[in-house]
Amino acid sequence: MTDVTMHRNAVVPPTPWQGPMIELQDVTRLFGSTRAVDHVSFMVPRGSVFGYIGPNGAGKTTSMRILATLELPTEGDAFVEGLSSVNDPDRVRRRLGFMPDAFGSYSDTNCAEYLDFFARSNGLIGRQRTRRIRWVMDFTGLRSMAEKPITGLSKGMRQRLCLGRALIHDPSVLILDEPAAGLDPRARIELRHIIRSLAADGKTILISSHILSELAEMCDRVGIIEQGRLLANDTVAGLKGNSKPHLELIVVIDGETETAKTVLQQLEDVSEVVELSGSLRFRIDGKRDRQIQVLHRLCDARVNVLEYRLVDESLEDLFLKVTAGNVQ
Amino acid sequence: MTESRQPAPGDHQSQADAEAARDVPTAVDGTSSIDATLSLGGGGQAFPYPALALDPEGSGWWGWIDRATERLTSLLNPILVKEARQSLKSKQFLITFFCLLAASCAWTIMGIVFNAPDVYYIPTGDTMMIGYFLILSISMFAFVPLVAFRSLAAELDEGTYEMLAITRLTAWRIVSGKMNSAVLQMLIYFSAIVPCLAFCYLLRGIGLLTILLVVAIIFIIALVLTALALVLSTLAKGRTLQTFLLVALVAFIVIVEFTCCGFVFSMVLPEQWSGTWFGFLSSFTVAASFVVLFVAAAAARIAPVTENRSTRLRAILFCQQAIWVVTIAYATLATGDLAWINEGLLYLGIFWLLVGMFMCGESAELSPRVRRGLPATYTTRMLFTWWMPGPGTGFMFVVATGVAGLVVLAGVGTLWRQSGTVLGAGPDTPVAIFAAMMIGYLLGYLGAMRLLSMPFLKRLGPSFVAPLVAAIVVYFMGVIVPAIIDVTLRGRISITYSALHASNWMWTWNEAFSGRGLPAEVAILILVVGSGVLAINLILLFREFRLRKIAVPLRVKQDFADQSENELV
Repeated sequence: MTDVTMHRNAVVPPTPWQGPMIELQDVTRLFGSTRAVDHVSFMVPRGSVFGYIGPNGAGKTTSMRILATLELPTEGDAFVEGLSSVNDPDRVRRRLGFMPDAFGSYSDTNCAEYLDFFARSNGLIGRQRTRRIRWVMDFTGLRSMAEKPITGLSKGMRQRLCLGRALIHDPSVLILDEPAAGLDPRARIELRHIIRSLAADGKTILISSHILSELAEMCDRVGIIEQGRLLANDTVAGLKGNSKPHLELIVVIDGETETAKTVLQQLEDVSEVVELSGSLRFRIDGKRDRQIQVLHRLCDARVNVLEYRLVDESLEDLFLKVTAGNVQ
Repeated sequence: MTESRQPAPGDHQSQADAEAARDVPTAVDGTSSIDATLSLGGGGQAFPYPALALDPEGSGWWGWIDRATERLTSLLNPILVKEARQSLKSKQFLITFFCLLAASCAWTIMGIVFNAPDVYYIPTGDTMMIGYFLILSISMFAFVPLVAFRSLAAELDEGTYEMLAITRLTAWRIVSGKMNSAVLQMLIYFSAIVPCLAFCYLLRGIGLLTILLVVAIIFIIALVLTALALVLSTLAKGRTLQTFLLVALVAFIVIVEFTCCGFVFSMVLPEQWSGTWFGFLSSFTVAASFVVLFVAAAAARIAPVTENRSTRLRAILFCQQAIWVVTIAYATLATGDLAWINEGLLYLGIFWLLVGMFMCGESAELSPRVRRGLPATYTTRMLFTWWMPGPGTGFMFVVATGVAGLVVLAGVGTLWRQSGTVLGAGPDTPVAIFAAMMIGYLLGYLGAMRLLSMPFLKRLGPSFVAPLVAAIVVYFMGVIVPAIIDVTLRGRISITYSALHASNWMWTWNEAFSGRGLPAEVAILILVVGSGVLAINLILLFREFRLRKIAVPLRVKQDFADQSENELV
């Protein structure tokens, strides 16, 4: 990608970009002696949502700012649609919508003027501009707020306006830094729908959030970062699979649990059988097909199984397992 | 997500909204929103929001004009549009504007009352003009630059600049937008006082041209102060430094106000008038060049480090020197006084010593983006390398341009002297000797400052602090070392100038302008030492000139082709 073609005057035909929409290549960012980002690399394909999670001070915002051309990496490079955010920031900016964690507002400006200003700043003119403002206002639900001063908006409305600003020039890549911070539950659900809708429309989204349960629902892949290092990068299912070599199950029994407990304790690859109220929690070392065999054994022993299910780890559990809780 | 909006009687927009809702993507609203039809970037019809045009649905001429004006603003700088909208709603602007109006009215009434009944018989326009000048200049010198300072500093402080930086606006457009908005404010203030100026003319005692000149002086000084305020606002990182710079700016504005008052009073009172049209024209041109330079410097300060932040500044500096050389040469030819040349040489030398200090602090590492724009062929490299960013090229640019300016001015002076039309005996130090001295100082001091600051720049990275400290050390040493030698050799500081004191620039300049004149051998000594320092610098900056142009990446070429195709479509 960084290779340089040597035929200086060659005419290059227009080619749609087939590679990853977002790519960080070995990015490092030092602030004095602090490594805010330490050799981070990942790729995000077109139309997918990449969740970027980590504790405060982990380096999420710094790497997002590098991608958004607002910060320079000390080493490495970041690419948007194959274009370097270091060397071709103007080309990257055309493709990029960035929603930072802090909302910078202007005094004496209403929502419509605010969006109009950013539409003009992004080179939209005439009807194209008014059409786009109209679309963004409808999409973010700000239409009734068009003439309201932005300094008087609620946190949720400000977040919508901020998202509207990021969308105003119809970018192919969206970088959303903590978009759900400070939002009430309803606004969060709405934001989740907005993000899924945008992804369905072909936008590539990099999103960071502290609300991990929501990220798990909307992200195709998740990256966990701590102390500047990317500790994990996989799908949520993949992360769950990778994080443990065993399965944890719960069996709810109708009646006494003694027989079931005895059966389970006799099985070789079953361990840590814990009795709960009317149910047993246990661990199977091995693959998922063993899960069915264990159920068969319980049924053979005439145990009345009411419910038999996997204990599903949440993204929060995975996050706590992967990270050590260190901050810089 | 969107609140449903029922058409209501008298609702200006509701009918259009209801119609538009059919072809507009449904708002994202809870669970149903997932089915919302998205049409990013397409569809829909023109729909100006009420906040953007006063009467988008209005018919007739007024509606047409309203919509056409709204469309015409697409041609304007977005920053100007935004700031104009903000200003029209801002209390600060309204208060200043009405204070200006009130003060103008009050001064007019007071002037008539106190001069009555003489106002009918004696010309009193000049006295009234002084009052209007004070009212207008205070608004233009104090409020406009301070508003510009606060506006850019607030963008940088509150994070809104970053939002602008990721749009298509370049740093130059952002700063020039701020400047345009300041000009608009000036025009509005000016429009408030125009009737008073007309009244002033009717009272007699002052000519129309003088009134226009006073207004032009206020306008150009306000422009320079605003551009300076913009540069200072980009230096202000943190509240403490911002407050300090603001106080420094206010102090400077007060000094300028007083100086300008003295000058304008002398203009308005006819018996003291001594200006020439050329003088005004050249002063305005030099001031305008400083406005452009300050705007470019402010833009360079906030531009991303990977961009070429230097070439535009160098081009402006080059033009500014050309303006200065032409002005001095014309003044010399017009007055027949060669003293102009020596003063011009001194100004040019000091100017380039200051500029060189900033240029030597540039980053030595060129980003691939900048290297793509390096001259490609041997000939273009020879001609244009000096214009590319870098401390070495900056040093050579200053040396080459400064020396060229000094030589041209000295050449004009020498030719004029040979023509025999010089008035009087001419300056105490011949022009050629003065020029040799200034060239020597430029090469020597700038070169020594660069050599001294190089290790610090390597360690601390690009900054103008290291060259500034190095410059202070070098100039101080230049003055103090001859005194130390004097004390060591003779036991006291000498009171007679000699070649030993050649490094003492203060004494040397004093000697050059004194009746004795500067000895030729001292000027030659300074030139030889300066050339030696230049030679050492040339060896050290050889690496910078070996940087070659790199090719544009294939992906960028593809993107360029895509962009061109889209534009064609």
